[in-house]
Amino acid sequence: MSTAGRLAAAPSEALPEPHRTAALRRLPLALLPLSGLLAWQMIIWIAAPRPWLLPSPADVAEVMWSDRERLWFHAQATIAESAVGFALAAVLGTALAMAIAGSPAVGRAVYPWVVASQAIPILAVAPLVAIWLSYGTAQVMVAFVVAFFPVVVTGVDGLRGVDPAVGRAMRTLGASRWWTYRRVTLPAALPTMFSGLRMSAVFAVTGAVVAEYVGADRGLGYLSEFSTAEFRTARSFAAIVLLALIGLAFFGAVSLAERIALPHRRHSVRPTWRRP
Amino acid sequence: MSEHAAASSIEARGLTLALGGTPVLAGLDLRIGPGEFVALVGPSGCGKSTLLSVLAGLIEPDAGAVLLDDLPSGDRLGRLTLMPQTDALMPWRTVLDNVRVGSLLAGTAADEATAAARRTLARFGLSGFEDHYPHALSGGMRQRVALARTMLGGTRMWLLDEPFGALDALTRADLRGVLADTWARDRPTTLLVTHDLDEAVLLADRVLVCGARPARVVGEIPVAMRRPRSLDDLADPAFSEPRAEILATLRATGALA
Repeated sequence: MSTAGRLAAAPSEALPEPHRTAALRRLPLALLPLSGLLAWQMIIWIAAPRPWLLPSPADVAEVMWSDRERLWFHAQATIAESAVGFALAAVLGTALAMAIAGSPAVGRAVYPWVVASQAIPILAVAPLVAIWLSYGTAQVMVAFVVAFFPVVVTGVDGLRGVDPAVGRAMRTLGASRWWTYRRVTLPAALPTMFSGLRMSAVFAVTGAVVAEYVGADRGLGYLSEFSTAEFRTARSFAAIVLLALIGLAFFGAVSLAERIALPHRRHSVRPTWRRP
Repeated sequence: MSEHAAASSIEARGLTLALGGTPVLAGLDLRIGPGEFVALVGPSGCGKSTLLSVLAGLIEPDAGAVLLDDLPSGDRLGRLTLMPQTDALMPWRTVLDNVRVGSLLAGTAADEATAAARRTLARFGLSGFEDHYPHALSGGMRQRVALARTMLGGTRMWLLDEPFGALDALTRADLRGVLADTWARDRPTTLLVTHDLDEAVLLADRVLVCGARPARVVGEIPVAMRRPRSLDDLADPAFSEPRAEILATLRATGALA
């Protein structure tokens, strides 16, 4: 047994330890933000700009802690607007994609206009939406409009790209049209649809912030805008950092949903949490 | 598989079909007796796959009729099982769930379907892979899974569209054996479309030769060889003679130089 232990130990000494390899693999991920922070700090050291012009990373971190209650209050508003806008875009966008992919007539009548609507600059329309709708509703609306498009486009591509062979084989085994759509076409289109949902989730946050800039009484976009106007630049930066984190969290949430919904993309064998 | 429906005869009478203005089938006639294994060979693009879709009921012909047990059957979708060239497995379902789907759609109770699927997978050498997803399997294993699904589908009329066309020669030979055994057990009425003449003579009771598009049957060659058959028998005149005859018929259609 001791021989076996020595034999097993010998090669592992030559190899890097597992946790060290994992850390090395993650290093590229940290490379960009770290060099960005370093460059930022270098500018502070070398050019020494006035703090209201460019605060140091430490100033921003300090504001994030000392002003955390205010930041959290505004973050909640932005998260809520983005989440509702995204949820509407996901549901209505998927429904429209199903209609467009399912019916050539609907496709011809609607799809070109959905694409054309993207040529309208959202920044030009957002102030109008802010006039028409109440605070909160306007932000949800703009988030929805921005998040809607990727859901529709990837949904249509995903549904149209499904290999008909599987559905045909199932039909000859006695499956109904509806069964085939629900159990073959939709699941086969899901991976493509999830790509659209991931993009859409991040766009929704951007949409909500754009609408906060042009007219709102709360939200991180609103906070950032008026902080800049008051030359409270550190707080403006803090809001932007939080917005980036919220965007990442939305992206991560959709990715997590995808992992749970599509275990076969990451596993060779059905994972235990999927067993009946 | 006594719970299966009876193996019926399949007959096509004067099937005519044009797709997008191109005639694909022009008055095609064929008949496959109950429990008979017929192979159909012909040049690429001659409309063989379209013929299978029409027989399966996925496409209705412009003219002509499909008869099952000598009765016209307009509503036959679900009575004949089509097995395509690609394995057509659902990548998000495990091997077991892919196989089970055939019997579940045929109305078998879930427990029974699971038990039947496990038995068939074991017979096909796939024990231990029940919870694997298809992408973790080799092409040959996936095609075995597809064959198991077809077998448990509750119909005893099989339309096989070059089921081994995408596999390498060794895997093909192996799966040919699996198919021959399965057919011998169940005796489903079978139409196999293939490009492989050895496959046609090794498996079929009768080989039909299909002319260039629009498809019609231009030759019929019986293979009077005892079963079970093996690759070693290919040199036997009972194989080599019909094989030569198929080649000659294909040459006459202009499909071969």
